Amino acid sequence: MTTVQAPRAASAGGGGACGQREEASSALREEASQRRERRRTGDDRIWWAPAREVVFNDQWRPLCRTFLLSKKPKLGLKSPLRELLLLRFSSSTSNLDACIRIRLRLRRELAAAPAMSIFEYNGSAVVAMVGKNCFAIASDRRLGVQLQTVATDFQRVFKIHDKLYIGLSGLATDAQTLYQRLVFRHKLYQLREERDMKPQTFASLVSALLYEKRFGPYFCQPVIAGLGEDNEPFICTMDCIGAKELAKDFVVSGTASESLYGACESMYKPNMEPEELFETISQALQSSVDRDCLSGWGGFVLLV
Amino acid sequence: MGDSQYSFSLTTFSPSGKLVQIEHALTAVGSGQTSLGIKAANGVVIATEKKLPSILVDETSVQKIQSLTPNIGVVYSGMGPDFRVLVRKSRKQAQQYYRLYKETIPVTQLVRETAAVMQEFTQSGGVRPFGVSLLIAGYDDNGPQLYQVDPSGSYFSWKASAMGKNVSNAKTFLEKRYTEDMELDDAIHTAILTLKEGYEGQISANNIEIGVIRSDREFKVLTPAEIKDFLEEVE
Repeated sequence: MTTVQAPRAASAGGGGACGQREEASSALREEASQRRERRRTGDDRIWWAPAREVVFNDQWRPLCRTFLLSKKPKLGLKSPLRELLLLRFSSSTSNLDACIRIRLRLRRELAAAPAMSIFEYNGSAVVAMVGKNCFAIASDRRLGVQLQTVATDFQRVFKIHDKLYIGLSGLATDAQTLYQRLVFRHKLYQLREERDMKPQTFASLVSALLYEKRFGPYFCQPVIAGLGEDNEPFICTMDCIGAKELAKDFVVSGTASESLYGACESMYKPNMEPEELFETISQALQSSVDRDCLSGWGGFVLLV
Repeated sequence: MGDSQYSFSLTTFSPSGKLVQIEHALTAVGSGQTSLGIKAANGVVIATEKKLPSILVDETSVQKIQSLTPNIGVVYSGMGPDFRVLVRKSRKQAQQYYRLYKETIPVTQLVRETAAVMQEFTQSGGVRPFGVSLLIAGYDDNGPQLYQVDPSGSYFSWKASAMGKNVSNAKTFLEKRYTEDMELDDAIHTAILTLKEGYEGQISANNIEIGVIRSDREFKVLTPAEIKDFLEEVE
């Protein structure tokens, strides 16, 4: 008697007498056809996601963690995590019991985790404004771990060259790493081309570097401010994968960005002289970080 | 021949300190068709003769002057197929630069990149040096520019230069004719005259090629009709 012994059958705990085997393999065939049908009708939710014991040796934990860090967790498992799990275990045999257990465990885990974005882990507020032939860029100085403040002299605004600055809000460690990479790239450019980068060019470079890491991004939202040719001010911001957003007046980013929008919206006037611009940006930053519990502890203002 | 034992490995110096394969590449260039370039006050012109092996060849199908970017053009002396490889690599390089910085590549940078490719082919295994010299003409924020790139990977910026057959005659001719404040139209005339000087036979609008770039930063290869107008002006 020839029986096709699927490798999966072993993990299902089958294998014994010949009759049992046959039974197991026909059960497998039945199940596989059901699975095909479900996949065809798009009705393969995690509930039926085939799984095996390997699920419980904590292999899925890192997945779950990354997910928690990168998005506000959504309960009910209609989420990327579901997709991941599906992909991961789709080739193994089904085990309804195990699936239910995973579901429950995931629910518990997700419910217990605080709803936090990785962008809000350290807390930040960065803002840049354009005046008449000048610009200002400002940031708060707090470095926290969620609600606990760790340092109050943290630097988020960095100099690229005399007329070009970048503020990096978001995860502090990524901000520092990204800054190092940007300085490196800019120095290479300086050596090669014997000139400083134009702010527009630099913005494209930052955008390209961020998009390079499209699927494992730096958790930073940069703000770029500089003086271009003829001392024309330039400001822009982008998201963590490099989608540029250009503005003529002001740009904001960080955990305090919502309140910064409000403050800038009401305080900003076009064509401000440097002194007035300084006042405005400082006031805007001050009042915004007061409304944000993750940023504050002093400010840093740079006027060019 | 004493050099013969050194003429196979590309990367072995002969006792006299030369890499003979590169010398050979230069010889290939030296026996190629004449090309020249002149940098004028308001633009650059590059020109070459287009001698075809038979009158039966359709001369409109031969394009010896190519553009690398909208504002950079190139002409060669030496081996046509090698030229195409370099053009392809340079264009790719220019596009990569644009993708990164959203800014067109400066002429110097493209020349440097191209020269780097040519150098690499003098030092890598399984390849041979390119049998071409290039004249690269461009106009960017630094004004009009003319570069020559050799098979060894060395490059120079010229006010006016020539290469291929009759280099020395052509260069002497250019030295006599060149002035710093030359306008582009004068430069085109000089270019035609220089080509005419060394040309075996009668030049016509169909057997030379001319590429110009003016301050509008648009590199253009002249059509036979346009060349004809210039030829008439010269005569």
